[in-house]
Amino acid sequence: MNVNVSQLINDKVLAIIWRLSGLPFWRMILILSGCIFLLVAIFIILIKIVRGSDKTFVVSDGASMANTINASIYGLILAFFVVAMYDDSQKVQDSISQETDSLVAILKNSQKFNNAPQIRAEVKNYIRVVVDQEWPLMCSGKMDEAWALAMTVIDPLYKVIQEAKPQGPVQENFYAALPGVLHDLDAAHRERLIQADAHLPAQFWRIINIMTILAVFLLVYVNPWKGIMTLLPILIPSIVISFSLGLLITFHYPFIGPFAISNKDYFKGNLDFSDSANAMARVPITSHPLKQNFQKR
Amino acid sequence: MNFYNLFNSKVLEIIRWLDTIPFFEMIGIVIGIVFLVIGVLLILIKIFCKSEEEFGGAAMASEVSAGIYGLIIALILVSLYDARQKVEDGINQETNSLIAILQDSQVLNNASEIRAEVKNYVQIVIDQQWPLICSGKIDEAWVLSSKTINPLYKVIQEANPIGVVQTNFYAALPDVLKNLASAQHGRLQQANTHLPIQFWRLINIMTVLILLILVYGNPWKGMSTLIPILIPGMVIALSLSLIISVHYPFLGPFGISSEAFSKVNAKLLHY
Repeated sequence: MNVNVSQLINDKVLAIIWRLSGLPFWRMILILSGCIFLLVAIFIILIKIVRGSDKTFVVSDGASMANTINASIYGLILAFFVVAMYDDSQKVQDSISQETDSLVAILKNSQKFNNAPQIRAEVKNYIRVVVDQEWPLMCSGKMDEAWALAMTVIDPLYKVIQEAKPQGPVQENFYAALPGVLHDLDAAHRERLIQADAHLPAQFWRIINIMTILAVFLLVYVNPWKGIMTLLPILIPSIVISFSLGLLITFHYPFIGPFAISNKDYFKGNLDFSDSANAMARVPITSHPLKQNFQKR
Repeated sequence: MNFYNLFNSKVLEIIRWLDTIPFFEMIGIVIGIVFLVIGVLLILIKIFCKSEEEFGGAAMASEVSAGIYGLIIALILVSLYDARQKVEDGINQETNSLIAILQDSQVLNNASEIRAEVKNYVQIVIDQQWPLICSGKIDEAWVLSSKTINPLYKVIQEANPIGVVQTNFYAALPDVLKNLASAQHGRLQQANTHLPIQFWRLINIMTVLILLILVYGNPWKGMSTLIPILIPGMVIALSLSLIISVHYPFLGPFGISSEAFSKVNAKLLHY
């Protein structure tokens, strides 16, 4: 029972983070700032009630010192995690580049083979499945379905390449490179799917939330209410805390939110099949499904 | 010397134990220990420091200590988090190699035998090696390593590739097997990787010193004195809890699961 409740809370925490990640950036920041301001207000009222009308209350050096210690630890942990999440997001971008580079290498290496048009068609099919089916599943968090699709997406490429009949040293040497390219493609594809679902665990978020509450409380404690001007040294750090949490949330899921990784790499350069140099003769540019899809986006 | 080793192993045992208990129970214990230290320090300072004048200059001292301590805690946390990511990368390399073996070998004459060995590899890892890794029996997990890799080498070396296609896909397999073996070794090595015990001792001493300066700067003047001590105390306890929870990559709430290998099993169902 305890496990189920804990699991439910974890799921809820991640669901809230997911929802916040999907919002427009400034709306998400406003919601976070709103939550923190609400906390500030509650703490101001609570401290006012507890202290009563004691106008002589002076914050001790010790309390300011405690605030420094608190801010150093909390601030640094938050800052390092924002950087770590940003690095993770860069790694996803790298794996997408590796995936598209492998597709280009397959196209280039196979252009002399007897079944080059079929290989080309399978590369296009791969891109179509990734862009039209897998990407929306990743962005909506349906990772099980995305994985189920991934199990089959690369198989036709393997099959068509294994059906080629390379002849002569040129074709045989280019063919020899293809197994390695296929490995890279599959590894990059799987890495993208793994990263799509990679995030900080719910327990981490709980700790960050508790630390945030404690940091805000101490901030209010060391700035006792003495009129509206007292709010300034509370609200400014609160806004900074909101922004930092906002950044952490933004990088939390690499495929959603304002900094979400786009699928434009699958249409660039040699993979832009609408380009006359790359287009297949029998596929008119205007009716190209990928081009249509790209224009819609 | 023996006493020293015994002490070291005890500290690591405690950290391992803390990593295995439920997350909030572990946080509760760490917070409790920090509060206990604060209580002891409060009493000691009350006994030994009678004069108010003795507290001057503590604020500046605390800024230096807090800066260094905070930076070290944050860096260790991120470094352990990165180390955990590397273990995950290694597991991805291992599963990618298994998938590559399945894909490359489908044109070979003994493809079904190779698939059976891949399945056997995955089963041994999930059912036998993983529980051993999680329970810290790394030597026993190493013994199983040869039972997974050797049969795969054997069955792949029994294949008879014919023609350009089979020969080229077969030519890629030695490298894939090498990557598989190195990824598995990496996983087993990382399973027992953790911060050295001396490191933990320094962290603990630094924590006590930070708490001391915190208590020293906030001498007892009633219950309200406790707030600026207990709140940083809790933040310190939460940070230490985070470090403990990422200390062993296969244990605790952030422990890496064997789900990646289950996905290889799912792939096997497609053949």
